[in-house]
Amino acid sequence: MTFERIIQGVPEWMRPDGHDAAIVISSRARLARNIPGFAYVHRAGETALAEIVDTVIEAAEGAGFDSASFIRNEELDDIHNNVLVERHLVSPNLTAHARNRGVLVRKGETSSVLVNEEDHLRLQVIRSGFDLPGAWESVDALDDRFAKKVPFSFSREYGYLTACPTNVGTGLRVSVLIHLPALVLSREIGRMIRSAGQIGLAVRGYYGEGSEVVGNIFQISNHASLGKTEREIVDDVHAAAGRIIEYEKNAAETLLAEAKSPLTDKVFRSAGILKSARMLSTAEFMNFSSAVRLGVFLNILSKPAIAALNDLMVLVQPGHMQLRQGRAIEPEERDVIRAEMVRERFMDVRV
Amino acid sequence: MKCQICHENDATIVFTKIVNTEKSVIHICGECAKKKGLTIDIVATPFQQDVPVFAHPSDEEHEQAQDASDAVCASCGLGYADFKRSGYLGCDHCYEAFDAQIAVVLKQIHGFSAHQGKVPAHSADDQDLRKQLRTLRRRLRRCVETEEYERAAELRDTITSLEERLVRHDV
Repeated sequence: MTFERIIQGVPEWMRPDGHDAAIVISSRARLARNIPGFAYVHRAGETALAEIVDTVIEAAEGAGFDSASFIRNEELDDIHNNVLVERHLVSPNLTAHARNRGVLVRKGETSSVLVNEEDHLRLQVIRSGFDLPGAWESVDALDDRFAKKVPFSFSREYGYLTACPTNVGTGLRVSVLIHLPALVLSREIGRMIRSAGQIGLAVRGYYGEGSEVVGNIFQISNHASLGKTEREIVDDVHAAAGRIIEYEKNAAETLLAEAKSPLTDKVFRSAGILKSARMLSTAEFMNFSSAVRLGVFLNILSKPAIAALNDLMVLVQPGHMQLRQGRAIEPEERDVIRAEMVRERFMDVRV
Repeated sequence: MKCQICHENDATIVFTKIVNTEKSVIHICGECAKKKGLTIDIVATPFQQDVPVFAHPSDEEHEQAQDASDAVCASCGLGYADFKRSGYLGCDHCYEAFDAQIAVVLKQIHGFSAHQGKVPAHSADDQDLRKQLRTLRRRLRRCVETEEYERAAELRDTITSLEERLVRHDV
């Protein structure tokens, strides 16, 4: 099955080898595209949706995907579908079992194309760390390769046409997944969010639109997609995110200088809990892991490696745990297994 | 520390009040904060409040937008009222069908209403276009045979637009 062949281990973009990877988990660029002659997904019949899937798969070969890399949504059960959501490959809106929908994905999962979600195509590139220009350049090239094979809905006036007018124009949304514990601890985060809003940025939770903030991880993206060039959008978000990274670093250094004992206490307690807990919910893991990550960033702790924290962040999510065990597991049992997995990775952490 | 309002529960929230330049800090419990409407629970709430800088459409634009609120897209049948309710357009042609209103909506969302970015590399090889046309014509025939006339009409539109492109490439 395509799923097992492609979806393995931890996505490449979760490896902390990118720029500022202790703070910025990943950088993402996505383009919304539609194919002329078809109604938008929510108004299209199954015949039309099936044709769109065929058209995209046919075009995919020329765009660097092999045609066997399409994961069909209808073939997935809830667990497999959740795994795709947890890996940021599909949005939580694309529920399991929906027909004529799915995702084209290359191994490593840095490039993917979501088919028949809100728009006919959503091209996506995710890079490790802070690298919005890199993500944009890749998705731009991917878009060009598809455009040679499929016509895209476009108007001179409004640019690329999309089902929701919030995406029209460039169809571009760029975002960073960013860890801001020091801004939260020093209560500066509210101000940061307000000023981000004032300069046209949207601040969201871990899984994007409508999702909650867990483990002090925020998604920051452009709000407008029309009226600026793609480069301007990328540069604006990149510059703003760069300033937020600086604020976070300063806030972290200030905490270390002015509140060393409470901060160190928080970091070690959190590490201690992760090292010894017998039950852990996802939210608990994310919150303690956030403090540990800050501790590693400030050299309060030498271990675990950021890579281990990233791996866990993927692997202890409910869908991933159930996939690994090959069965549906009740939340209570999941908490026990999650604690075991975390303890294993924290064995060499000294607290 | 006990809550400075009810003096019973433990204070869990530090509330900083700034009036003019006067700053005062009070320590309160969650319950009292809720009663007084003082909670801005930033970390625990979902973020949906995007605060973009809106450009305000002119009165004239507003009037135009009001005028055609019973407009219907001839291509997909979506009414402007449906769009207002759901926030989603039905097809590419809706952008033309609701043109006057869309310009206002786009200005509200994006602050601009004209595209500045990339133009599709519609340099699809003519061979690819021809191949795509053959496939579409085949599908069209199948739709006519199975009496799926609505779909057939859509396909005919697509075929026409592709043929036009092919002609442009030939020029």
